Amino acid sequence: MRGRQLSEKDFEHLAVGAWILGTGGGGDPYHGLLNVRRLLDEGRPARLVQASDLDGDDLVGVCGQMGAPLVSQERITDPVMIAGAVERMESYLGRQFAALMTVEIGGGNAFQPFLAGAVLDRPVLDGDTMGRAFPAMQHSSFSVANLSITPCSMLDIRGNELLLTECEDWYWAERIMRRVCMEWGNRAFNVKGPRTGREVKDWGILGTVTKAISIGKAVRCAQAENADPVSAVLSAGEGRKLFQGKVTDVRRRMTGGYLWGRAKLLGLDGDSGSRMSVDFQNEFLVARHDDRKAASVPELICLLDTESGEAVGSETLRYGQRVTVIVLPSPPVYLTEPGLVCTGPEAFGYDFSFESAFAHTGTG
Amino acid sequence: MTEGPGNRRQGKSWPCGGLRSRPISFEDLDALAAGAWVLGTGGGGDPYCSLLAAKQLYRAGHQVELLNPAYLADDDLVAMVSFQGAPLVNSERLPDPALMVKAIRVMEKHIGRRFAAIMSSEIGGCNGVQPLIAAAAMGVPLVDADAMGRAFPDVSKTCFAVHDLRPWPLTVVDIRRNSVVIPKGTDWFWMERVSRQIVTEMGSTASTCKAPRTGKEVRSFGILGSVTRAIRIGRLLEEAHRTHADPVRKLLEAENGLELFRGKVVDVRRRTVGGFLRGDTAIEGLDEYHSSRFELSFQNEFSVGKRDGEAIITVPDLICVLDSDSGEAIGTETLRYGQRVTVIAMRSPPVFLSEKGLKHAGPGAFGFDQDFVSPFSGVH
Repeated sequence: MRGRQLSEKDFEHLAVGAWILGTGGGGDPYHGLLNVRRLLDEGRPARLVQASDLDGDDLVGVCGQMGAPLVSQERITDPVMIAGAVERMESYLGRQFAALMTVEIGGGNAFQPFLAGAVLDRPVLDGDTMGRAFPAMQHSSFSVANLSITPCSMLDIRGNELLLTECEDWYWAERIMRRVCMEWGNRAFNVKGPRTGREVKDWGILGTVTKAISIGKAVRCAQAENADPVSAVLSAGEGRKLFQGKVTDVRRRMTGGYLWGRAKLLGLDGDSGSRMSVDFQNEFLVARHDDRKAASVPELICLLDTESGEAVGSETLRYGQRVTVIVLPSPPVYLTEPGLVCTGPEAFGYDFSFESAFAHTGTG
Repeated sequence: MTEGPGNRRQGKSWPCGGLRSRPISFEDLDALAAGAWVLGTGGGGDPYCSLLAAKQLYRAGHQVELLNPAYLADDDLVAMVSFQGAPLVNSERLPDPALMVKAIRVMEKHIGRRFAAIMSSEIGGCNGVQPLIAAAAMGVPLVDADAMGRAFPDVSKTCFAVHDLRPWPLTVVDIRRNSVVIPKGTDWFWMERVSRQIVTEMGSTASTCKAPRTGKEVRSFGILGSVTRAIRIGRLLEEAHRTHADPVRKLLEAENGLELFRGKVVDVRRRTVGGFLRGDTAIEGLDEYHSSRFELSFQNEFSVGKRDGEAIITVPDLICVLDSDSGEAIGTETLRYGQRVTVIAMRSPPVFLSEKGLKHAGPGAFGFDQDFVSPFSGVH
């Protein structure tokens, strides 16, 4: 599998697009971009392969970093860490991965398999397991498919390592790994249950690296041409605009390893006189327009800087920002019954069921 | 005197002579539990539940061989097992032999080797009895040794940690289907931090298999003969009951201990901080200690003892609080107002008395702004 070598430009677009698909969470991909730039300068590979290139029994390593986005703002990611997690898993399995993929395309994790891939010379699959970012591993498409999560490897910056060899379910894997991750300072690098090529083809959310690049490219082109970048995102991501306004209030608290909170927005221009609130647990979960539900997980609620079209994260929201709230369609796997059990509003403790923000517009 | 091939420490042979091993009898079980509770110095958890589980296995026909550590081959692998978690949870749920065996099997799979024997990391409290359960269930011998010679709140206070042996790998399994391996950690301290978090998340009860030790490591650095010692203490207490002798006096004579104080408990303060039971207790003197007062601080185990405001004993010496009447140990969690108690001291294992040993297990390691003091300094 050779795959397509991605350029520095591709990665700049990936950073912009992945941050938008992060729906507020997943961490700003900026540090990942800096790392990839350096690795490309060193002549390292960054190859993108398609699921169709995989054999059914190829093994794919699912990479990600775990923790609070706030911590990654303070400490730049070292590519050696995620590569180490991949190596530990390969040595545990006694097999080399044919390709690596990210657990989530949204946010900084979009770059993790490229960092490991550059260090270890492994291609990266054009796909992920969420089509966005989600707070916990039980929200992945492989969890919806009820595939095994074990074995998982995880390590930290101090030489601590963890190996989960057997687990009750995805929820328990999340509990145990999150707990250890918190003890390690809310920053850990992991490789989750290895997937066969067959499983990736059946249950992976495919083409999302390309999708993120194309969304990022649309933003950058619109910026260059003085066009409206928000419209460019809506058209590239087949989304819908929900609200335009400014941030008037943000409440955040860091509990149980997640960043929880709510942002309040006051309408501007066409939305003048109305309000919107957005709840988040790392990612934006629910948007309410004048106390009416406007959108919820698993659909993607994204806050964009109204001027630049670039994403605003749950940890970077602040008073006075001019933002536009948009919604992008959910990957189809989450709209099934088991998908909604894993990722619908109830899975996050809300007492209402999912209703599509696209239901009345005919675009969803 | 027949010496085993590698028994060169402590200047004496294994307490049962040069035998390779001897069976632990059903009668030994009660004695082991009573002795382990004394050596727990207030902590380590009441061995009662472990004793019940061990008796059940014996009634089902299992029996454990107690192995003279001198007969461990250099490259034999010894499993260090224990149930970890909150004493309260572990007293609601009997230790399950199958779960202890599972932690060992996960370790064997991880390192790709079989264990030749099982050993306790702390002889004090329920961990003094639990490894016997695993040994019975697996049909392998129990090594007559431990890594503390008493009980301590965490694994950084073992003879193996003092000697800087490798602290990993470690396995943790719970009552569900969760199995975790910690293949590597920064140091003993981090291994403890991480495993404690996992155990807490699993419901504060889990079975663990700690860093495997080689036969050579056990012989060179282990605290040898501690299972025999616990059984001996237990038997001596039983014997004293039967003959209406003073059990405390018998214990002090047999173990070269010192009586520090006798009186009644007048105050107990406990708080649970960071997973540890911390607190202090005050004892008012009776008889020849009349009008004197003894104060004990504890962190799971008794750590510092003061008579009339002056510290006269600290960890790593063993500070045991015994029921003045029965000689049975009283735990930090079972202390209560009005109990008639005798506070006694036993010598620390030598490994903890070096400068490095005191750094690991001296009063400073428990957060006390206090130098090590021992009633045995100057006593020969």
